[in-house]
Amino acid sequence: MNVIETAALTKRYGAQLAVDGISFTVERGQVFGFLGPNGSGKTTTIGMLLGIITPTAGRIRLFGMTGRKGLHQGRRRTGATLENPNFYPYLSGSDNLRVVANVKGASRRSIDEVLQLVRLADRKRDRYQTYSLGMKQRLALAATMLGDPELIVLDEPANGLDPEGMKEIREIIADLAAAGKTIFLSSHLLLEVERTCSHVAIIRRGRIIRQASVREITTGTTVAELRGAAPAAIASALEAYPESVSVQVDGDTALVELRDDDLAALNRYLSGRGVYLSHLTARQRSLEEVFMQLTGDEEAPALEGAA
Amino acid sequence: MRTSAVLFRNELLKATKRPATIVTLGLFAFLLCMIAGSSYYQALLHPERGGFILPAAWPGLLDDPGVPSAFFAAILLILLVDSEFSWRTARQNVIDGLSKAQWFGGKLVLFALVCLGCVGLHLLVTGSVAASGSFHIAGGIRTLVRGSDLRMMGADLLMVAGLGSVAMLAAFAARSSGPAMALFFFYVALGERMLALVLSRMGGAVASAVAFLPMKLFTSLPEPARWDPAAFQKAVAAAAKHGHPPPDFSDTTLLVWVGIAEIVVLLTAAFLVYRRRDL
Ligand SMILES: Nc1ncnc2c1ncn2[C@@H]1O[C@H](COP(=O)(O)OP(=O)(O)OP(=O)(O)O)[C@@H](O)[C@H]1O
Ligand SMILES: [Mg+2]
Repeated sequence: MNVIETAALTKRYGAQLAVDGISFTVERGQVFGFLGPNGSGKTTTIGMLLGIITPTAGRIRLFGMTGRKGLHQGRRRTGATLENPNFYPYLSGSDNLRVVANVKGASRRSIDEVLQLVRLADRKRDRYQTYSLGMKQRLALAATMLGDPELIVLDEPANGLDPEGMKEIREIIADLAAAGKTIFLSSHLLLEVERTCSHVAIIRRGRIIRQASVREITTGTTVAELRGAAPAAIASALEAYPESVSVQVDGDTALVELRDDDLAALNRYLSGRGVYLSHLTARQRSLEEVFMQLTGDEEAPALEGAA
Repeated sequence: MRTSAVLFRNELLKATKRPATIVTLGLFAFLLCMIAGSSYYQALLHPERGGFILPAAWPGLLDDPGVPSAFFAAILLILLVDSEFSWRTARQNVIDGLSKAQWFGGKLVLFALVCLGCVGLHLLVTGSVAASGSFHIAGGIRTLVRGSDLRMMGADLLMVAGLGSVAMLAAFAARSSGPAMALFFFYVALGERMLALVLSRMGGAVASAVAFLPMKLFTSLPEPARWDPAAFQKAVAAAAKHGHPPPDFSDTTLLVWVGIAEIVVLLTAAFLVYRRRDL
């Protein structure tokens, strides 16, 4: 079943197309990463899903429902944050969650449970404005879990966190996924998406340029790394190899993108042509490489917080 | 039904725990104490003037802080509504599952709470000072309120709600408390007079609409002479002394209904302004 489905979703701000005809589907149980650099339209897209930004054009379905009423019903089965955590600064953490729980019809007891989950139980009586950024993010995460939603939507949940904080958020997300929730999260951090998500859509300048499972993207082809006494000879032999897609020479190392992952066959082929190697390994492509290839280097998202 | 209970609980929680509410209402209560206290003191000095005895003291108590008493409600409404926009909780509440209409419904609950709260505080503070005055001076209270006092209290509530709904429109148009207060006080202090000037220049039926402009209408409603027979006699006598025709309050019923209609229109406009824009 499709939990989220969009078709040609568009948002225009004056002359600026913030979101340009985006179509994607998120199925039940997926941890779906929405990956893109700053200003690519992630927040705008999520805002439209959540009903607080009116789309210029396009359609949205949540849990198969659409229309004002249907989307409202779908949103009541969703827990979400958008950009920064938004709470009443003068209320305590638990009073803030009480406001949310009242709206969602969640019990008093569930407030303590989610506070426990995000490790804020001992600070729940302190006012929100005294919280650190990491605590604010965790409270936001706690708020999304109230009312036991089937879909959790998180806009940059790791924003501004230190490696330790990111690790905690990652663990909480993994727990939620293990509990069978569908999770949709946006990020400009490749590593975060690679580590957290099962599926990914890569967005750039308001358009989705690739959508697949993370495994599919990162293992679609094998890249082999080769070194030997004569790099030039290695390169020209690789060019002639039937399974090679592309060849690149980087200093004394040659990189070849292969259609298969049979390195033994490659080695046999090269030694058959009198080319001997001192080094041969397969390299799994990271999401970063895919991203670079798709978007060009200047668009590469940050690798910060790579804990 | 469940939704209204949720909205009520949340608005009450948010408003009562907010320091700004306590400060604003505290200042209002202080002002009321000062005014009622000084009337009490005057009554002790001049017992021959009839003094500070309920229920005869009500018209004066209700009239005394006058229009500014509605400003406390207006300021409080602007502070409480617009901080939801600056903290983006207006957005989060909708994300958490309220529809935009339900969220606005919450603000209507707040509107009612603030208007009733301010008028209630007014009655409570001045009423208890006057009650102690009545016991001290007259040895007791025979009647707490008369029908005319109740009607005047209603008119006072209508004034607070009327100016409050002007403040609501300002709050939703500006979405930020500084500019919203500037907008509100500009209209109240200057804007409406400028508008009145333009309208009266146009003459005819248009000019007669001046009496129905919100500030003019709502502030003229709680006039004691409109509701209290004794105050009316005084006004008639004063007019006769200056050779003026006696005051005519036959428009009271019309003003009340137009006033209620204006509150509905102002709040509806606030809703439309709110709904049109993204959060
Ligand atoms: N209210 C608005 N008015 C005008 N332009 C806007 C508005 N909101 C967003 N934009 C523009 O839309 C584009 C997409 O913005 P959006 O916030 O969706 O990006 P994002 O992917 O969430 O970026 P980030 O990673 O920085 O959060 C940007 O160019 C932004 O300037
Ligand atoms: Mg964003």
